[in-house]
Amino acid sequence: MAKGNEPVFKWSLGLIVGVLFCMGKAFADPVMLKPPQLLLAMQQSMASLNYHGTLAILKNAKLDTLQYFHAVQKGVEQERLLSLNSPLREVIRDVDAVSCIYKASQQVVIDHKPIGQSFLQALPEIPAVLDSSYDLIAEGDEHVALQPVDVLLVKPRDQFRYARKFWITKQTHLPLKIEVQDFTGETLEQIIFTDLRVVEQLSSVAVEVKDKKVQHIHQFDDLGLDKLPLQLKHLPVGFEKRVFTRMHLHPSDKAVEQLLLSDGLSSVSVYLEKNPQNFHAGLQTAGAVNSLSRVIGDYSITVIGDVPAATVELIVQGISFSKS
Amino acid sequence: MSDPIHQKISQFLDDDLNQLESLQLLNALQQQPHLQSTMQRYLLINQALKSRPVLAASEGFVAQIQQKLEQEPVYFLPRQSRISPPFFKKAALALAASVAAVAIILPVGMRVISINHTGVLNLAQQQAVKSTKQALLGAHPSDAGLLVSNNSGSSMRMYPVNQRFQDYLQAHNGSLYTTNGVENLQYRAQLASYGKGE
Repeated sequence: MAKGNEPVFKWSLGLIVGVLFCMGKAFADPVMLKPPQLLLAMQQSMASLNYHGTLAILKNAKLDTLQYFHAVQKGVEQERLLSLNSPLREVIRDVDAVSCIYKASQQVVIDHKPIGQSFLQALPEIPAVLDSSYDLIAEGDEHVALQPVDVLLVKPRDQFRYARKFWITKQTHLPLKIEVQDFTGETLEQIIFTDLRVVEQLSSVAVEVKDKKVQHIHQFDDLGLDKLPLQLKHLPVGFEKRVFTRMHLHPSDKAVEQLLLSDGLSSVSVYLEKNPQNFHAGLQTAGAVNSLSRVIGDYSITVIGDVPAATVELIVQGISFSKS
Repeated sequence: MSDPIHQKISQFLDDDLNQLESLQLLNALQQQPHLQSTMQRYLLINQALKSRPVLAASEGFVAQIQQKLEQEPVYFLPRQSRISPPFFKKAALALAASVAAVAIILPVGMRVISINHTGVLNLAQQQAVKSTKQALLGAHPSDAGLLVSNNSGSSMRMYPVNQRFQDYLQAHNGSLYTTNGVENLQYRAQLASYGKGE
């Protein structure tokens, strides 16, 4: 540094330290929304803003990086993922289907869904539904990717579901980082935006099927909850029946019935399959997902979801067929 | 507070708005960014009322500092001698000796602490559980399954992830599409499209 610049440098350094001190003091005590307001603001921002960025997803000890786009046009959301690593693919989530376009094989798989759930995190339409089973805890502020964030922990009141931790930007209220944690606080899954941009306009993309092999999977019939032939005696607090459908499994084309349960954050499916083949009645685990099966008469019952093993076990044990 | 939107912000912070009104307000805040600074100001007032000390920089504070810096004259003074007086030299030597002593003593102390700490045992146990689980999941699908104890004290068979698990998970939600688990799905999709399903 030139000698003559030293006083200016010292002056600047002093001022910068002063400014940082003042700002640090101002944010030393968490000046943030209350936890329910923060959750509502995050839900509203996630659903209504146009944004895109690079997403790092850590699941089952594997790291994937994807380009993420969220567009809203006339109130209709669309999520789009572009893989940055092989196999190169584009995944588009519309309201009622997830379309996966494979670049190499020029194949399109359209996976029909009864309920649209964000790739980032499913959130309840009414945050108050979480009150019965979760505590919302503000954990102060931090920085993620150089952006100031509020930290919100959604902590379960029992051991039948996982905790979620959100790092929410102060400016836009979008989540920069989301963690799924078990009851000991160990991280099971992590999603981080390494960069995130909010833009005024972002066009939705139509799934291009021309000159491609198109396959529709999981097309379903909504049977209605009143047609449910099962009784669930042991349902953890907060879990509600959402939809009961019949679909054909991919790729075996076997007909199964699916009951979807949710507590607002965690979801569980109960599958009912007649005369299953090569069936194991037992527990299977992959990361945060657990599945447990049992056989009742000619039917196999499988409970699967992003919940602890204790939850699928509790639900399976309480299932019986209705007398009617 | 005559402006209705300001009143709404205040009510929102006091939890006096229902969900619909809150969402409408949050929408308005997104469309009118200047209202966000209003909300931040109200939050600070809220904080101040709770009698916690809060220091907040005014909006033009940083700009004023930049202006001052630009106005700061540049001095071209002769370079000062870098030779330190004997007192500082001695102090520096003493400081270096202290740092060296700490550098030798601290790692020894830390090693003793870590050996006595039960965390090592816990960690080893966790690793053992994890490796068992991983070995299980990596096992061949035809394996008979491992008997594991569950929370309720009874035991059940644990199987490696199989085709049916993946089918159910794919139908359950879109989480497989966010990971490379979708690689298998592509392979299976190809099989199905050529009529060679399971």
